[in-house]
Amino acid sequence: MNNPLLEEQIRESFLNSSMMKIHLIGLAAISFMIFLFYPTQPLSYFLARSVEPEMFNIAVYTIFAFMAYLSVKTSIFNIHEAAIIGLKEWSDFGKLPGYRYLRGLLAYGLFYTAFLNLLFLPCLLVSASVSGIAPANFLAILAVLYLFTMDIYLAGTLLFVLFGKPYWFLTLILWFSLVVTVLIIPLMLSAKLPFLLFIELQKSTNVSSDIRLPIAIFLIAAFLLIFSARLAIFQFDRSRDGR
Amino acid sequence: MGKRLITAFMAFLSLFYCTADTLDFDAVIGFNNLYKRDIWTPLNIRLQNSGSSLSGELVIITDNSSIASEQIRIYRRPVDLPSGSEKVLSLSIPAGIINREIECYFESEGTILFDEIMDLKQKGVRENFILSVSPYPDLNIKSDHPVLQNRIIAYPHPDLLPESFSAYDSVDIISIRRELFEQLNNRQFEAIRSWASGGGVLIVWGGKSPVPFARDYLPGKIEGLTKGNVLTGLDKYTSVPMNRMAIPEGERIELPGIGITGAAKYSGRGLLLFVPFDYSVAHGEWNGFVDFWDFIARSATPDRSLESAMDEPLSLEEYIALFDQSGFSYPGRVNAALMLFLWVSLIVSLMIFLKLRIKKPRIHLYISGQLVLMILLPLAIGYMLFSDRFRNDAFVLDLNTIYQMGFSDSAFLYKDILVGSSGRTANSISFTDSTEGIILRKDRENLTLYYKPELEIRDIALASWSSRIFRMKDSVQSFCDAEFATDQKGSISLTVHNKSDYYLNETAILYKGMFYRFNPLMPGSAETKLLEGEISEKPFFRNSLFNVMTERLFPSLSATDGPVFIAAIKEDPENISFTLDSWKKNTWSLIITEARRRGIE
Repeated sequence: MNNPLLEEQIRESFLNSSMMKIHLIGLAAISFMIFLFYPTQPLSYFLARSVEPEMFNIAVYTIFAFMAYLSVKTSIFNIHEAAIIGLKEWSDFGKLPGYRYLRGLLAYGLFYTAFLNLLFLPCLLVSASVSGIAPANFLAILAVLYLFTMDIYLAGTLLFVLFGKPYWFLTLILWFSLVVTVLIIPLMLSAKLPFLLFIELQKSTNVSSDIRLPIAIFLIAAFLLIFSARLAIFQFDRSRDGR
Repeated sequence: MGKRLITAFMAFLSLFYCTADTLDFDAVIGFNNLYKRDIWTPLNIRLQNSGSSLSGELVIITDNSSIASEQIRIYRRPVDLPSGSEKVLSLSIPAGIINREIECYFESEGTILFDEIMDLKQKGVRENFILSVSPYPDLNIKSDHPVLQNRIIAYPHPDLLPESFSAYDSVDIISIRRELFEQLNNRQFEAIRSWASGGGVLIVWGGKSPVPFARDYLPGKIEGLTKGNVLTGLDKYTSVPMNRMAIPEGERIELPGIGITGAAKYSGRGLLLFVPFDYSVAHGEWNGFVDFWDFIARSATPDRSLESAMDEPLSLEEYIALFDQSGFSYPGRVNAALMLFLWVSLIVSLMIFLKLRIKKPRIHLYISGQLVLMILLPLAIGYMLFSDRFRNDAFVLDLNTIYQMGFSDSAFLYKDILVGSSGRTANSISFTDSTEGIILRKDRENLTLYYKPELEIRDIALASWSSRIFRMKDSVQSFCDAEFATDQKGSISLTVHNKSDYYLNETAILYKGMFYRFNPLMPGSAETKLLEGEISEKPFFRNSLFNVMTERLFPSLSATDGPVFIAAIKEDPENISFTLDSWKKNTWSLIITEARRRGIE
C-alpha cells in the first residue's frame, strides 16, 4: 500500500467505528428485511399463477439505495469523522502530487465499492434464488450493480475534487437525485433505461448481448468522471504552482 | 394561392379516400358481449375489407396487471384480407376481473389501420352460461328453476360459437338444434366435442331433418336412434323416429310419468343428450320440459374439469407439492435467516478482527484476506442456492399457455396426460424421484424433456388438478392407426393410417432401437412401408426439439415389441402466435403410436 491517502482512507474511514456500525446495522437490517419479506410459498406457487416474486426487486433496490448512500457519503466526505482532509490540505501538508491523490481516491473507491457489493452479496443471492433469477441474469445484475456504485462513487469524488471540501448537502443532493432517478424515472418512462436494468436483466433471454450497452455506458461514464476529476486536479495543481 | 388551396384540398380528399372506411371492424366478446370474468373468454372479430387487398396482423392486447404482477398478453394473428372480403376470427382471451379494456388493432406493412379499445367495465358476470343455439331462441325456463342456479342463458348465433374449447370454459350447458349442430364448422365441432368430454352437458334437439346423423357425437355415440315405434302423443314433434326400447338401458332419459323421452350418454365427465323433439315447437304443448330440465339440472355437474386457469380459481397445491419437492438444501425461510445471520456474524467478527489490527503495519494483507473470504463464502452460498445438485424446486404447469392453446411449447403429451411446465430458475434442474417425465424450459427458447422411465406418474390424483392437465388419451389414439406384419423372410411391413387433420411430414419408425424413415402422410391417407432403407440410432427429425424429445422418450419407446410410429407436428392449431412478455410460443406435439400386429402372412 504505497499510497498514503489510500492507507489513511482505510484506517480512518473504512475501519472507523461509526462506518463499521453503519455497515453492520445496514447488513443486519437488510437481512432482517429479507427474512420478513421472504415468500411463504415456493417459487412454483408464483410461477403457477404467472406472478413473479418481488423478493429480489425489493432486496436489490433497497441494497442499491443503501450502497449508493454509502458510496456518495464516502466519496464526498472522504475520510470520515477523523480529520477530514480536503484537497488543499493534502496538497499543503502531505506534499502529495495531484495524480497520486487522485489515484488514492480511485483505489479506495475500487476497494470500497467492491467491499459494499460483497457485503450484500449473500442477501442478493438468497433473494435471487427465491425469485427465480437465473444465474447468468444474476451475474449480469451484479456487474451492473457494481459499475453503478462505482460510478456513483466517482461522481461523489468529482464533486469533492471540484469543491475541495466536503459538504454534507452535496451528499444529500447527489444521493437524493440518484435515488429519485432510479426510483422515479422508470415509473414515468417505459423506454429501456439503464436504471431499469435490474428489472430488464432479470427477464433477459440473451444476457450477454443485453448487458453490453449498459456496461459500455457505465464504463464511458466512469472514464468521463475520472477524466473530469483528473482535469480538476490538474487545474488545481496549476493554480497552486502558479501561486 | 387558389391552385394551392385546390391541390391541398384534393390531397386531403385522396388521403381520406385511402384511409377511411376501407376496413370495417366489429368485435363480440363472450356470448353476445356477455362474458364470465376471470376465465378464458371467446372473442370474435369480424373484419370486412372494402378497399384494396390487405395483408397484416391482427393484434389483441389484454392487460390483467395488478400491483402484484404484470400480466400483459399480446395475441397476434396473421390475416389476409382480399379486396371485398369479410372474415370472422375467433380467439379466446383471458378476461380477468382487473381487465378494464382490450386493445385491438390491425397492422399492415407497419401502418396501423384501426386501433379500437373495447371497454369491459361491468360486463363480466359471475355465473356460468347455458347456450341456446336455435333459430327460436327462447328456452322458456322459469327463473326459479334449479338449472338456472348460478347460470344464465345466452343465445349466440351459431356462426359466433367459439372455435377453441377453452373459450367454452364458462359454459355449463349447450342446447342446440340438430341441424345447426351439424352445420357447425369443423373447428367449432371439435371445440364443442372437447368441451363436452371435459365435463359439459350438450343437448341436441331433434329438429326437422329426418336424415341420419352426419356426424358422430362425442366419444360416445348414442345407440338406438333407429326408425321404430314412435312416442305416442309426441310424434308430431318428432322428426327422428326413435325406437325407445333399442336404447340401452343405461342411456335412456326416463322422466316420471312420461317414460322414455330421449337418450343420454355419459362421456368422460360430460353428458350428451339427444332428444328427438323440436324444442321450440313442442315446448308450448308439452309439459314434460320442466321434468326434462330437472333431469339436466341434476346431471350438469357444477364441478367441471375445464375450469379457468387464470389466476387462482382452483387449487394447485397438490400438484405443487408433487413437483416442488423442497429439499433440505432449498432455503426455506428459516434456512435463509440462519444463513444470513451467520453471514452477519462473520462480517462482525472480521470487522472486529480488522479493528484490532488497525495499528499493524500490514493492514492491507488482513483486508485482502477479508475480501477473499467475502468472495469465497458467497460463492459457496451461490453454488448451494443455484446448483441443481442441491435444488429440487420449481416446476409447475404453465397453466395459461397450455390452456390457451390446448397444446403449447411448454406442454408435453406424456402417456395420456398433457404435462406442461415453465420456469426460469436454473439452466438445468434435476428432479426428485417422484417425477417421471416432464418438459422443462431449459432456457428461454429451448425445452427439454426430463424423463425417468423407472418412475411412475400414476400416483397423482388427476381429479384434483384435472383442470390443469388435460387427459388427451382419446384424441391421441385417434390420430393414427398403425399395424405391422412379418412375412416368412422376417421382413416387417408397417401400415400407418393418418386419421388426424394434420399433414404429418416429420415421421419415423422406431423398431428394436433403430430409427427408420417413413413417408409423409396426408390427412386421411395410409402408407405401407417395409422396414428397410435408411437406419439411424438417433431420430432424424429436422427439428432438433423433436429429436431431443424422442431421444428422451427412447427408453420407454424401445421397450415395446413391435415398431413404434412417431410423427412430429409443429403447427399452430389455431394459427395464433401467442406472445407473453416472458416467452414466445410455438406449438408442437409428438404423436406416438405403437403398431399392432396384423398377423403372419
